[in-house]
Amino acid sequence: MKKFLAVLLLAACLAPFAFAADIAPFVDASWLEANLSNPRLVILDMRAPGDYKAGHVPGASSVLGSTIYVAKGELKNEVPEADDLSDVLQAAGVKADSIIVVVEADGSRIAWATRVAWTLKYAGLANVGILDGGYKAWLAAGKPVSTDITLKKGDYTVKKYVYAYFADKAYVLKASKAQIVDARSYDSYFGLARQAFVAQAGHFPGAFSLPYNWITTPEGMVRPKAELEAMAAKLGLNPKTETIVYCDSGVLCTSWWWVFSEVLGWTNVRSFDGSSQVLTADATLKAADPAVKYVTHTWR
Amino acid sequence: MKRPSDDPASCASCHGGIAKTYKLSLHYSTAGMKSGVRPRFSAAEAKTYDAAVFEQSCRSCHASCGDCHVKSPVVSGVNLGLMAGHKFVRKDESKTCALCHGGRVYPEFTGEYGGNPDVHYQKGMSCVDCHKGSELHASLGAQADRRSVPDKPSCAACHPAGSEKTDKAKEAHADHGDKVSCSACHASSSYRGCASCHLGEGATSSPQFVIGENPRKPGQITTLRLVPTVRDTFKKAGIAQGNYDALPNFWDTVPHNTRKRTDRTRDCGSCHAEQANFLSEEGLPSGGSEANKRLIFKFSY
Repeated sequence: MKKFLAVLLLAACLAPFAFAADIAPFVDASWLEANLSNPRLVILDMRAPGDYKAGHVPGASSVLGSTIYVAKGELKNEVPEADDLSDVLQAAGVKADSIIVVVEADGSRIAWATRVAWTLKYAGLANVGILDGGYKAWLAAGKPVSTDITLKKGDYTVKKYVYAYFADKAYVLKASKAQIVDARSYDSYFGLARQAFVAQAGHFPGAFSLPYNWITTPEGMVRPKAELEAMAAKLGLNPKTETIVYCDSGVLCTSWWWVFSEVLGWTNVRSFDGSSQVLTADATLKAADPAVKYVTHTWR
Repeated sequence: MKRPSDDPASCASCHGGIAKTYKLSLHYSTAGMKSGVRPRFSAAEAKTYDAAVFEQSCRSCHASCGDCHVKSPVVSGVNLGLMAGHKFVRKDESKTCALCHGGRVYPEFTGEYGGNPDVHYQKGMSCVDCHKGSELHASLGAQADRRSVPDKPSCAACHPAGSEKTDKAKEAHADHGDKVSCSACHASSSYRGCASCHLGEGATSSPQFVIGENPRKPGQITTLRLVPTVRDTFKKAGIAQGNYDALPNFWDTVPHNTRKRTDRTRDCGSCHAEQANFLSEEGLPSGGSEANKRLIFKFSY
């Protein structure tokens, strides 16, 4: 019995990430290659159509990221309407039991991969993972490349979103006990740099800073789970406290949502879709909103 | 030789047919830049324009055979060099079309202008899937513009009436028919409008979404794009534009950000109650053409 428990413990330690579904939150090229013949596998290649046509993981469907994080008026990266998202997913071959792998260009695009993966989870899909290191890692591993255009027909219809993964401005302003995490760069956090569409420089008062690009190594691969966990712990984040992640327009914040929720297994994490673009401005997005005064040049 | 194919005769020994028609095509002649503005000029002004503006400035934008098939065209002094070494290519839209049309149409098509990508781009289509070689090489007269191209794309060629999948779409198309262009309902987001072009001083641009009467097809509502010619655009060339008010400051346009569903297809009230994005007196450019008023659609209820 002791031996059995030891094996279990060893297996738990070796598992790179928590398996909440039929796929790990990040998979490597070898895993993907070994699963290419799985009829449930759907690979979403998020690169530009021209890059996809030039070569892609065999069987991958081409999906434009901007059909999954869409512009709505002046808002930059919003969740699509359910019928539009259903069309995109069905055209890519997605079914309710699909095992989906999101492929971006490389590790520098991790937040765009997580934005897609977060949206799929938000849309109710259970089995979603991301190719660690993106297509660049697939090529670097010497895996096969195809130029065949894949046309699959799925039947997944988005019926409702999982609102527990989502925060909007009203929710953030009321969530006084939540720990707020800023996923942008230090320059943005401290107010030294500001995107033109964000009305105020700096950060939400009290927010912790965890830049999205800390998740990956300089080579673009996701850091080990223990290192990611340590980053959060040493910052003072409590896994049991409600956590809301924000950024400029709702892309970068999904990177830490993905790590907290899917890799580390935190159960109360929300991504703020509108982020600073909405938080710092009035309802018309034209003027800074006095209800939220960002702070600059200081921690938290 | 700097641009060997500047004279299509260089290519004619092997591609005689195309080289012959291409010399009279809009991409080579840039005749659209002449015909589009000509009604604003008196006969004398037109002569001055042709010599001092068109030949000196506009004509420099013509595309040689090589600009599309060997080396990316030079735009504002910038180009991407040879596309595939010295090999000729049939097409490479992101390095050819995208450069000359990179201010408006192409970034609208890919979504890089900030709106939604065109559904055709989403499905993997690119420029020449709709704009055929016969259109791009078409032989046209010296007074032609892009609307006189006989083989230009038509939505209905791929999406004929009656092929709709839902009754709602069938009814909407039957109800609106020729009264409303496809783009008036299916253009999804803002596109670039340019204002205040002064000769040699450039124009300013901003996102816009304007619906109004089609200046070239009276009785039809369509999407309009602000064009940058203002009253003193050609002042430095000594052209006063005596007939400036003959043309409006908007042309009908097909923004390349087509989507199946938009605010207008989802909600009839967007047009029929709110009249959202419709051109109004308040939306007319200051000091603009008198002809703009003809483009304001008058709702009859």
